Amino acid sequence: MTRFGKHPDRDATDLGAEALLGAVADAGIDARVIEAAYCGHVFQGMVMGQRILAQVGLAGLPLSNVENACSSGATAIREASLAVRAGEHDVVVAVGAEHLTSQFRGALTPDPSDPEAAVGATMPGVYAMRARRYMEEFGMTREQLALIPVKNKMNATLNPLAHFHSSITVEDVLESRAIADPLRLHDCSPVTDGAAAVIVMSDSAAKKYANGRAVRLAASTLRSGSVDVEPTSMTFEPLTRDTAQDAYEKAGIGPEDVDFCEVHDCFSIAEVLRVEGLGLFPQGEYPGAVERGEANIGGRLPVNPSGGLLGKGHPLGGTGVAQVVELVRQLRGESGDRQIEGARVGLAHCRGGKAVGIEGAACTVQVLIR
Amino acid sequence: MQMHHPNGARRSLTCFDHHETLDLATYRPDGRLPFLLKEKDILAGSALGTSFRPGELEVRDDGTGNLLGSRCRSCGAHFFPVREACSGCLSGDLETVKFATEGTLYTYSVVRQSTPDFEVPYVLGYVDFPENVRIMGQIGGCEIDDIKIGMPMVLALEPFGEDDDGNPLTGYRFKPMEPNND
Repeated sequence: MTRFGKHPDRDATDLGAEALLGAVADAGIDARVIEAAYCGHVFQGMVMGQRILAQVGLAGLPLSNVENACSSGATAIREASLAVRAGEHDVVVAVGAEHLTSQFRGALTPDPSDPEAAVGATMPGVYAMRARRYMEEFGMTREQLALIPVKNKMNATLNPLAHFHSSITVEDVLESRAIADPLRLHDCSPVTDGAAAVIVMSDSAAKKYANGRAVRLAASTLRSGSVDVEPTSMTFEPLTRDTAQDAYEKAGIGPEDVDFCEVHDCFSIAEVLRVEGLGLFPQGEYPGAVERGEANIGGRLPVNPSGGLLGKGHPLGGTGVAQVVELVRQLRGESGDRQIEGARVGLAHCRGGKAVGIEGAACTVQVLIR
Repeated sequence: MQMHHPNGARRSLTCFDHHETLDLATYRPDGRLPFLLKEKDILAGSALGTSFRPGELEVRDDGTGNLLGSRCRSCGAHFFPVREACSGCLSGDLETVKFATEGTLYTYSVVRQSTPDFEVPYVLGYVDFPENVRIMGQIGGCEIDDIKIGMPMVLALEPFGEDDDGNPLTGYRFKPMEPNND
């Protein structure tokens, strides 16, 4: 993957090409063995994937561009894994890229046609409303919520590819600019440019090409949000729960087997909702667990050791792929100062998008096992 | 600030003065500072244009209006906005209904950063209606500090931008049922 951050002199094609070549080099394969490609992005215009492949000499492959909001990159990995599991291809590349700084500023919103966008819905506003409700229901304090960006930005200082490299304090969070009450600037993931790529192989191809470096993708599941027939809690995520349940079943594990996770912390409150939806912490208890250090690197269940979206950055299409890059590196023991000792099972969770009446638009869970 | 909207409308929005009083306010035609619209004027026909989104908000000549949605004739579930089929039982036998105008505030946030279409700050909230639907809208007509989860809210029709020809459009906000300001 590329360094995440602001890249004013580059574009998504360039970043995607760097990530793709990096994945090929990391896998130690000849690029000519790649049979197909899936490219995830949100705002990069038509045929971003074709532009990337043309840049690296791979034009001509079967290629699909994938848009699934913030789950676009993760969905590209799922599509790649389906192509391999179906027996259609043996070696497939999934790349996710976004040059977000050139596409928009300020708050991300639902599609302008959406009835909620028409009255002023913003993604920070929606998550802020969920945060307020969570505080009301479970007594989470504003200071407890601030500990999540503090943790993730600390982790990011250990990740050379992260957008941010400075640790922050609870006070920094509480004094940062108000975005949507009660959320402040440090509660929100940044506008980030970046790209990431992974090579997905069949078992037989891995034996042939991977030099023992492949990590098993035990599950890659996807769901989209359903329309509620009555209002449901906004402090719990059935969509996350159900997508995770699919993944646990496919991987033959339970939440108790997960050693660490990368979850979609687009906002501080989102990390709370994710890990509780995944069944990794009981509902209402994650803020306390963070306070006790349980989610730190070295804690009972490290959450977002890469820095997460809050610390590493959030280039929409690149995000889900970068999560899996982190899982692979952790499971190979290549994560340097942020290495989680003895990690065997890693989980990545992405979810993105908003449309009126549905709980969430697209949700993915990937389980990797060493 | 005004931008074209896919439905052909243009939006220019706010609901605040600079002291964070959530007045039921609208914009001057020049798009600058909001002026206050007295509550009794809100539902006066003279202040009303056509609905900013006719499929979702019905605005009548007498100054009243309702949010619109679907009711499943098969299982009784309600939906906002209008749907083609029921997500509960998959029946396609749906009728368009007018929702009640009173509900309960589920949660809210003061939005301080938004798109160029919307001037900040404004308050977003989700209101639960008796038909078992939850609808997002802006909140107006009260002080920010007086907003509480669980408070009863009522639908208020309000000027909500204008169309391409400069004709006023009517949208909606939610306001507390018994505002404690003057």
